[in-house]
Amino acid sequence: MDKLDCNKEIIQLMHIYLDGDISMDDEAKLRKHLEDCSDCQKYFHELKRTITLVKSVEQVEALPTLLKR
Amino acid sequence: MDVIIKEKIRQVKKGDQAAYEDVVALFQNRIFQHCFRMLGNAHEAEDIAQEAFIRAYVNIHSFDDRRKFSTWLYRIATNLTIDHLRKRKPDYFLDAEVKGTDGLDMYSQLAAGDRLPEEEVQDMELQEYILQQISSLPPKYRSVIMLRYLEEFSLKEISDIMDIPLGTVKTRLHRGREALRKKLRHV
Repeated sequence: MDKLDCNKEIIQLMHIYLDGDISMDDEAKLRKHLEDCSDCQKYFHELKRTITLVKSVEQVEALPTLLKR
Repeated sequence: MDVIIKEKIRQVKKGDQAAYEDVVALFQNRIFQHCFRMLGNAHEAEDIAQEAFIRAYVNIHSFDDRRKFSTWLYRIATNLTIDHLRKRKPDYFLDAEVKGTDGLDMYSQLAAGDRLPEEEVQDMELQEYILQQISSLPPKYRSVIMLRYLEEFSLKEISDIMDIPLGTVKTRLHRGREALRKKLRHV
């Protein structure tokens, strides 16, 4: 299913971007590649969506009774 | 907030027990949530969270005031959860209910395989499913993902909490994201 034909370098750039560490040059490179490659676009979208999904998890409702025993 | 905590810790160091109760009150929900997400079991999470607060209190004099107390406390709690996960008997996992699922234990999870059919995914509460997928990550990835996206610590803070180099935090975060991407792409 995964099309990792595009080099690992681009995927690495996606992660660096997601960490907020990307340089302007690398960001331009990533952007340019994403414009041309629909597989990588999809991959990048999935990574960003993963983060959104993880962040959407609400606080669990069970409340602690710490130090009350 | 940071100023208040700094002041409280200063009082605790002078032997003010009531000040520590305030500190516990400020952090207990967050620390409990963190332990609960790491362990997937409320009773264990309470025990471990309580242990973390006790250890922090007992060792308060080794806390360096120039650092952030929350980071230090998370480090204690995270180490305790990881130690606890290591000590769990292997069969524990197979009998344990996966948190947030109604009686769905590891056996049925194994039977279902890691690619659940679309309908089954839709039947489950999405959040529960996501939590379950996070829980299925190995602890070292799970903790970094949780600290970053649920507790919103910076990469540098995570490096302090886990006591691992920044580069290792990044590697674990990347691998954690990759693993979750595969698990969540069909959601």
